Amino acid sequence: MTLTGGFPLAPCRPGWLCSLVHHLRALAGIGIAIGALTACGVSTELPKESAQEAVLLRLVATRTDGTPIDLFGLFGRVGDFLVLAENIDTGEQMYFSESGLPPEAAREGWMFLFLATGRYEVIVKPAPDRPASRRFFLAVPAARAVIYGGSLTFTCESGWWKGSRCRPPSEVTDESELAAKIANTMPQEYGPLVTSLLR
Amino acid sequence: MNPHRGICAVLVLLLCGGCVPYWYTAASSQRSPIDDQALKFITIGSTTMEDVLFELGEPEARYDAPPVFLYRWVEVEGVFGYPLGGRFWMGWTREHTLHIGFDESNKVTRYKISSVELSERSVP
Repeated sequence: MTLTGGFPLAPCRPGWLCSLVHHLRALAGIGIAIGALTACGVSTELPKESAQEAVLLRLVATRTDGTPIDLFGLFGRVGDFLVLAENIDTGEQMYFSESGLPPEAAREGWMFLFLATGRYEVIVKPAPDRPASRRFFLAVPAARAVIYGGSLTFTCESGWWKGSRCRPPSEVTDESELAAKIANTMPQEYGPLVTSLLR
Repeated sequence: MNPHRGICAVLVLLLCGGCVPYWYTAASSQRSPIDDQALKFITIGSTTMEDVLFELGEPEARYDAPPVFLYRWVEVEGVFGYPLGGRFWMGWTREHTLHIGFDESNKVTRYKISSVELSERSVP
């Protein structure tokens, strides 16, 4: 017995019928694999939907003395900061991510997410293995624009590593001018920048 | 139980090698967990904001236009084991939020519980 396309195949005599059966089984295996990926939450669709806005945030990390910390190390992103948007009305949750942004923007701590117009609580966590977190309110207007939600600064103790010694941000700063430069690097269809700061 | 926990539970059982894992769930917030039983008083379209406040008390957060109440509580869930004289612990801290929405006449239009994994830790 051999395995093809995830299915155990009984041996059959060589010929066009046997070949057809093998191909059909392989196709069915691919279909089931895509179905399984979808069921596991792996999206096979394009990220942007027509009624969604692109929301930009920036994460900044500093030591207690105010000196900045580079969010990226030799092997990629160092911090395990989590930023999650939860729709207040529906409870739907989505994570911000730097994927899709230019590498320079990601290095500077910019993250983004497509969100439907509505009201959200943005949950910010310095590290996944500690319960410390902070919630902010975010209004996403129907602006057909890139929405800038603000910049969040984590304060980290010396010996900082992977966010475990960082405190959640307590306030939101406005870097709209920098955000406009990031928005300019995004496709034109997302529109101009609109600032709607977290609060 | 979500699939990740199921996988972790199987791994823990394999690691324990004869020990008896002990599952526990405990509330670690001022508000007690709100389960389906506690929400049976809600009837969409007829239960009022006053009914909700009477049954569940003041929410942890509330928003207007349209009104939404958010009730929050935290649960710690985990498993202990004592394999070969050692100690094993794996635990999850989850924050749950009950979202209750109201219409302009303050009647409940919908409700839903969402959860956020606040931390996942293990001690080998």
